[in-house]
Amino acid sequence: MKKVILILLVLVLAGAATGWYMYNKPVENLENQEATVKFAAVDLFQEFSENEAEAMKAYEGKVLEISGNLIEQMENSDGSTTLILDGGDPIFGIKCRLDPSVSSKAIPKAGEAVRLKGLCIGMNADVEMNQCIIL
Amino acid sequence: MKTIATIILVALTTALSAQSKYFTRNGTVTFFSSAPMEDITAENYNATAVLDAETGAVEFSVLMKSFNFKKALMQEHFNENYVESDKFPKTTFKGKVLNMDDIDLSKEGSYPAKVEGEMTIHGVTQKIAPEGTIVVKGEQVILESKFIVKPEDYKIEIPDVVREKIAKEIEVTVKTDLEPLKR
Repeated sequence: MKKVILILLVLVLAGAATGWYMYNKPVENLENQEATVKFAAVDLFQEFSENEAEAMKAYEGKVLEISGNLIEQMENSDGSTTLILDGGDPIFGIKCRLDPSVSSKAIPKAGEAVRLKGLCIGMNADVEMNQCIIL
Repeated sequence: MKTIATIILVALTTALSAQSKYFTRNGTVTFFSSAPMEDITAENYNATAVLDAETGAVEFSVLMKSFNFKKALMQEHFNENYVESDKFPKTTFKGKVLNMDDIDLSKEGSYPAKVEGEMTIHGVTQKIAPEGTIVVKGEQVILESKFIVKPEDYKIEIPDVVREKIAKEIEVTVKTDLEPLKR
Protein backbone atom coordinates (compact mmCIF):
# COMPACT_ATOMS: atom_id res chain seq x y z
CA MET A 1 0.00 0.00 0.00
CA LYS A 2 2.79 2.38 0.93
CA LYS A 3 4.41 1.63 -2.39
CA VAL A 4 1.24 2.55 -4.32
CA ILE A 5 0.94 5.85 -2.50
CA LEU A 6 4.57 6.59 -3.20
CA ILE A 7 4.18 5.83 -6.90
CA LEU A 8 1.05 7.99 -7.09
CA LEU A 9 2.86 10.82 -5.35
CA VAL A 10 5.75 10.63 -7.80
CA LEU A 11 3.30 10.64 -10.73
CA VAL A 12 1.43 13.67 -9.40
CA LEU A 13 4.68 15.54 -8.83
CA ALA A 14 5.94 14.67 -12.31
CA GLY A 15 2.64 15.83 -13.78
CA ALA A 16 2.77 19.11 -11.90
CA ALA A 17 6.38 19.68 -12.94
CA THR A 18 5.56 19.00 -16.60
CA GLY A 19 2.59 21.35 -16.41
CA TRP A 20 4.69 24.09 -14.83
CA TYR A 21 7.39 23.59 -17.44
CA MET A 22 4.93 23.74 -20.36
CA TYR A 23 3.25 26.82 -18.91
CA ASN A 24 6.49 28.72 -18.50
CA LYS A 25 8.19 27.53 -21.67
CA PRO A 26 9.73 30.48 -23.48
CA VAL A 27 9.10 31.14 -27.17
CA GLU A 28 11.42 28.82 -29.03
CA ASN A 29 13.94 30.32 -31.42
CA LEU A 30 14.28 29.10 -34.98
CA GLU A 31 17.89 27.86 -34.80
CA ASN A 32 16.88 24.24 -35.24
CA GLN A 33 14.07 24.80 -37.69
CA GLU A 34 14.52 24.29 -41.39
CA ALA A 35 13.04 26.84 -43.77
CA THR A 36 10.16 25.28 -45.70
CA VAL A 37 10.52 27.60 -48.70
CA LYS A 38 13.45 29.56 -50.08
CA PHE A 39 12.81 32.89 -51.67
CA ALA A 40 14.36 35.90 -53.28
CA ALA A 41 13.14 38.91 -51.26
CA VAL A 42 11.84 40.52 -54.45
CA ASP A 43 9.70 37.48 -55.31
CA LEU A 44 8.20 37.24 -51.83
CA PHE A 45 7.28 40.92 -51.88
CA GLN A 46 5.75 40.57 -55.33
CA GLU A 47 3.60 37.63 -54.27
CA PHE A 48 2.28 39.57 -51.30
CA SER A 49 1.58 42.75 -53.23
CA GLU A 50 -0.18 40.90 -56.04
CA ASN A 51 -2.42 38.81 -53.82
CA GLU A 52 -2.06 39.33 -50.11
CA ALA A 53 -4.78 36.85 -49.16
CA GLU A 54 -3.24 34.04 -51.18
CA ALA A 55 0.27 34.80 -49.98
CA MET A 56 -0.95 34.85 -46.36
CA LYS A 57 -2.47 31.41 -46.82
CA ALA A 58 0.71 30.06 -48.36
CA TYR A 59 3.43 31.61 -46.18
CA GLU A 60 2.11 33.10 -42.94
CA GLY A 61 3.32 31.18 -39.91
CA LYS A 62 5.98 29.40 -41.97
CA VAL A 63 9.72 29.59 -41.61
CA LEU A 64 11.08 31.06 -44.83
CA GLU A 65 14.61 31.55 -46.07
CA ILE A 66 15.01 34.76 -48.01
CA SER A 67 17.89 36.44 -49.72
CA GLY A 68 18.16 39.91 -51.11
CA ASN A 69 19.85 43.27 -50.89
CA LEU A 70 19.95 45.02 -47.57
CA ILE A 71 18.45 48.49 -47.84
CA GLU A 72 18.47 49.65 -44.26
CA GLN A 73 19.38 48.58 -40.77
CA MET A 74 17.39 50.01 -37.85
CA GLU A 75 17.95 49.78 -34.12
CA ASN A 76 14.75 49.16 -32.18
CA SER A 77 13.95 50.61 -28.77
CA ASP A 78 14.87 47.35 -27.00
CA GLY A 79 18.29 47.24 -28.68
CA SER A 80 17.23 44.60 -31.21
CA THR A 81 17.81 45.11 -34.91
CA THR A 82 15.38 45.21 -37.80
CA LEU A 83 16.57 44.89 -41.39
CA ILE A 84 14.78 46.04 -44.52
CA LEU A 85 15.45 43.93 -47.59
CA ASP A 86 14.82 45.28 -51.06
CA GLY A 87 11.43 44.11 -52.30
CA GLY A 88 11.68 45.75 -55.70
CA ASP A 89 9.34 48.53 -54.55
CA PRO A 90 10.58 52.13 -54.21
CA ILE A 91 9.79 52.28 -50.48
CA PHE A 92 8.62 49.01 -49.03
CA GLY A 93 10.32 45.67 -48.76
CA ILE A 94 10.78 42.77 -46.38
CA LYS A 95 11.02 43.92 -42.78
CA CYS A 96 12.96 41.41 -40.69
CA ARG A 97 13.45 41.66 -36.95
CA LEU A 98 16.51 39.71 -35.87
CA ASP A 99 15.99 37.43 -32.89
CA PRO A 100 17.86 39.13 -30.04
CA SER A 101 18.17 35.83 -28.16
CA VAL A 102 20.34 34.31 -30.89
CA SER A 103 23.86 35.65 -31.32
CA SER A 104 23.94 37.02 -34.84
CA LYS A 105 26.49 36.78 -37.58
CA ALA A 106 27.82 40.16 -38.68
CA ILE A 107 25.19 42.27 -40.39
CA PRO A 108 26.21 43.21 -43.95
CA LYS A 109 26.38 46.84 -45.00
CA ALA A 110 23.49 48.53 -46.79
CA GLY A 111 23.57 47.58 -50.46
CA GLU A 112 25.15 44.20 -49.80
CA ALA A 113 23.46 40.82 -50.07
CA VAL A 114 21.99 39.12 -47.02
CA ARG A 115 20.44 35.69 -46.49
CA LEU A 116 18.31 34.89 -43.47
CA LYS A 117 15.56 32.69 -42.17
CA GLY A 118 12.60 33.82 -40.14
CA LEU A 119 8.91 33.45 -39.40
CA CYS A 120 6.68 35.14 -41.96
CA ILE A 121 3.92 36.99 -40.08
CA GLY A 122 2.11 38.97 -42.76
CA MET A 123 2.04 42.28 -44.60
CA ASN A 124 1.91 45.72 -43.03
CA ALA A 125 3.00 47.89 -45.97
CA ASP A 126 6.24 45.89 -45.67
CA VAL A 127 6.12 42.10 -45.62
CA GLU A 128 7.09 41.22 -42.06
CA MET A 129 9.32 38.47 -40.72
CA ASN A 130 9.97 37.86 -37.02
CA GLN A 131 12.60 35.87 -35.06
CA CYS A 132 15.05 36.16 -37.96
CA ILE A 133 18.52 34.64 -38.00
CA ILE A 134 21.20 35.65 -40.52
CA LEU A 135 22.54 32.57 -42.34
CA MET B 1 -1.78 48.29 -44.28
CA LYS B 2 -2.69 49.57 -47.68
CA THR B 3 -3.61 53.09 -46.55
CA ILE B 4 -0.22 53.91 -45.04
CA ALA B 5 1.39 52.75 -48.26
CA THR B 6 -0.98 54.96 -50.23
CA ILE B 7 -0.36 58.06 -48.10
CA ILE B 8 3.37 57.67 -48.51
CA LEU B 9 3.18 57.04 -52.23
CA VAL B 10 1.04 60.13 -52.71
CA ALA B 11 3.42 62.13 -50.52
CA LEU B 12 6.39 61.05 -52.57
CA THR B 13 4.84 61.85 -55.90
CA THR B 14 3.97 65.38 -54.77
CA ALA B 15 7.25 66.78 -53.52
CA LEU B 16 5.59 69.63 -51.68
CA SER B 17 3.50 67.59 -49.30
CA ALA B 18 6.32 65.11 -48.66
CA GLN B 19 8.01 67.79 -46.57
CA SER B 20 5.35 67.62 -43.93
CA LYS B 21 5.21 63.82 -43.63
CA TYR B 22 6.95 61.92 -40.87
CA PHE B 23 7.28 58.17 -40.94
CA THR B 24 8.58 55.14 -39.07
CA ARG B 25 8.49 51.40 -39.55
CA ASN B 26 10.00 50.41 -36.20
CA GLY B 27 7.81 52.11 -33.63
CA THR B 28 7.32 50.52 -30.22
CA VAL B 29 3.91 49.41 -28.96
CA THR B 30 3.71 47.47 -25.72
CA PHE B 31 0.85 46.32 -23.61
CA PHE B 32 0.66 45.39 -20.00
CA SER B 33 -1.98 43.44 -18.15
CA SER B 34 -1.91 43.31 -14.39
CA ALA B 35 -4.06 40.67 -12.74
CA PRO B 36 -4.03 38.95 -9.32
CA MET B 37 -2.39 35.79 -10.65
CA GLU B 38 -0.02 37.19 -13.21
CA ASP B 39 1.41 40.24 -14.95
CA ILE B 40 1.69 39.93 -18.71
CA THR B 41 3.72 42.12 -21.03
CA ALA B 42 3.89 41.95 -24.81
CA GLU B 43 6.15 44.04 -26.99
CA ASN B 44 6.04 45.03 -30.63
CA TYR B 45 9.04 46.83 -32.12
CA ASN B 46 7.91 47.05 -35.72
CA ALA B 47 4.91 49.35 -35.74
CA THR B 48 4.44 51.45 -38.85
CA ALA B 49 3.28 55.02 -38.31
CA VAL B 50 2.88 58.17 -40.34
CA LEU B 51 2.13 61.74 -39.28
CA ASP B 52 1.15 64.57 -41.57
CA ALA B 53 2.38 67.67 -39.79
CA GLU B 54 0.27 69.93 -41.97
CA THR B 55 -3.09 68.41 -41.13
CA GLY B 56 -2.26 66.53 -37.93
CA ALA B 57 -3.48 63.28 -39.48
CA VAL B 58 -1.83 60.32 -37.81
CA GLU B 59 -1.96 56.60 -38.60
CA PHE B 60 -0.60 53.55 -36.85
CA SER B 61 -0.60 49.97 -37.90
CA VAL B 62 0.79 46.83 -36.28
CA LEU B 63 0.63 43.14 -37.04
CA MET B 64 -0.75 41.22 -34.06
CA LYS B 65 1.71 38.39 -34.66
CA SER B 66 4.53 40.83 -34.23
CA PHE B 67 3.85 41.06 -30.48
CA ASN B 68 6.49 39.17 -28.55
CA PHE B 69 5.60 37.46 -25.27
CA LYS B 70 7.94 35.83 -22.78
CA LYS B 71 5.97 32.60 -22.63
CA ALA B 72 5.18 30.59 -25.76
CA LEU B 73 1.82 29.49 -24.43
CA MET B 74 0.69 33.06 -23.82
CA GLN B 75 1.70 34.13 -27.30
CA GLU B 76 -0.23 31.19 -28.70
CA HIS B 77 -3.37 31.90 -26.67
CA PHE B 78 -3.20 35.60 -27.51
CA ASN B 79 -3.06 34.92 -31.26
CA GLU B 80 -5.36 31.92 -31.46
CA ASN B 81 -7.98 32.42 -28.79
CA TYR B 82 -8.21 36.10 -27.98
CA VAL B 83 -7.38 38.44 -30.85
CA GLU B 84 -7.73 35.72 -33.53
CA SER B 85 -4.76 36.97 -35.53
CA ASP B 86 -5.45 34.71 -38.50
CA LYS B 87 -8.82 36.37 -39.05
CA PHE B 88 -7.78 39.85 -37.93
CA PRO B 89 -4.05 40.21 -38.55
CA LYS B 90 -3.74 43.98 -38.00
CA THR B 91 -4.57 46.57 -35.43
CA THR B 92 -4.86 50.07 -36.82
CA PHE B 93 -5.39 53.55 -35.49
CA LYS B 94 -6.47 56.41 -37.74
CA GLY B 95 -6.84 59.79 -36.18
CA LYS B 96 -5.86 63.38 -35.83
CA VAL B 97 -3.72 65.50 -33.56
CA LEU B 98 -6.34 68.14 -32.73
CA ASN B 99 -3.93 70.81 -31.47
CA MET B 100 -1.34 70.50 -34.26
CA ASP B 101 -1.33 74.31 -34.61
CA ASP B 102 0.15 74.62 -31.12
CA ILE B 103 3.03 72.29 -31.92
CA ASP B 104 6.08 73.84 -33.56
CA LEU B 105 8.02 71.04 -35.21
CA SER B 106 10.87 73.42 -36.00
CA LYS B 107 11.46 74.07 -32.31
CA GLU B 108 12.85 71.41 -29.96
CA GLY B 109 10.70 70.61 -26.98
CA SER B 110 7.93 68.52 -25.53
CA TYR B 111 4.35 69.35 -26.45
CA PRO B 112 1.14 67.87 -25.07
CA ALA B 113 -0.96 66.39 -27.86
CA LYS B 114 -4.70 65.85 -27.98
CA VAL B 115 -5.49 62.97 -30.27
CA GLU B 116 -8.81 61.64 -31.46
CA GLY B 117 -9.51 58.80 -33.81
CA GLU B 118 -10.67 55.30 -34.53
CA MET B 119 -8.95 52.18 -33.41
CA THR B 120 -9.64 48.80 -34.98
CA ILE B 121 -8.73 45.69 -33.01
CA HIS B 122 -10.11 42.21 -33.62
CA GLY B 123 -12.22 43.62 -36.48
CA VAL B 124 -14.07 46.00 -34.15
CA THR B 125 -13.71 49.77 -34.52
CA GLN B 126 -14.01 52.12 -31.55
CA LYS B 127 -13.56 55.87 -31.19
CA ILE B 128 -10.79 56.73 -28.76
CA ALA B 129 -9.19 59.98 -27.57
CA PRO B 130 -5.79 59.20 -26.07
CA GLU B 131 -3.65 61.90 -24.54
CA GLY B 132 -0.13 62.01 -25.81
CA THR B 133 3.10 63.91 -26.05
CA ILE B 134 4.98 65.03 -29.12
CA VAL B 135 8.69 65.52 -28.54
CA VAL B 136 10.69 67.39 -31.17
CA LYS B 137 14.36 66.47 -31.17
CA GLY B 138 16.40 67.67 -34.11
CA GLU B 139 14.69 66.33 -37.21
CA GLN B 140 12.94 63.63 -35.22
CA VAL B 141 9.36 63.77 -34.06
CA ILE B 142 8.66 61.39 -31.19
CA LEU B 143 5.07 60.39 -30.48
CA GLU B 144 4.34 59.03 -27.04
CA SER B 145 1.06 57.92 -25.55
CA LYS B 146 -0.33 55.68 -22.87
CA PHE B 147 -3.97 54.63 -22.78
CA ILE B 148 -6.31 51.89 -21.66
CA VAL B 149 -7.91 49.30 -23.91
CA LYS B 150 -10.72 47.12 -22.62
CA PRO B 151 -10.80 43.74 -24.40
CA GLU B 152 -14.58 43.55 -24.08
CA ASP B 153 -14.97 46.79 -26.11
CA TYR B 154 -13.41 44.95 -29.04
CA LYS B 155 -15.40 41.75 -28.56
CA ILE B 156 -12.34 39.92 -27.30
CA GLU B 157 -13.72 37.18 -25.11
CA ILE B 158 -11.74 36.03 -22.15
CA PRO B 159 -13.03 32.84 -20.57
CA ASP B 160 -13.73 32.84 -16.84
CA VAL B 161 -11.06 30.20 -16.24
CA VAL B 162 -8.29 32.68 -17.02
CA ARG B 163 -10.06 35.73 -15.60
CA GLU B 164 -7.63 35.83 -12.70
CA LYS B 165 -4.73 36.02 -15.13
CA ILE B 166 -5.87 38.64 -17.61
CA ALA B 167 -6.87 42.15 -16.61
CA LYS B 168 -10.12 43.78 -17.73
CA GLU B 169 -8.15 46.88 -18.61
CA ILE B 170 -4.98 46.60 -20.63
CA GLU B 171 -2.47 49.43 -20.56
CA VAL B 172 -1.05 50.25 -23.98
CA THR B 173 2.15 52.28 -24.37
CA VAL B 174 3.18 53.76 -27.70
CA LYS B 175 6.54 55.32 -28.45
CA THR B 176 7.59 56.00 -32.01
CA ASP B 177 10.47 58.02 -33.39
CA LEU B 178 9.31 59.43 -36.71
CA GLU B 179 11.73 60.75 -39.29
CA PRO B 180 10.95 63.15 -42.10
CA LEU B 181 9.99 61.25 -45.21
CA LYS B 182 12.51 61.96 -47.92
CA ARG B 183 13.65 60.35 -51.10
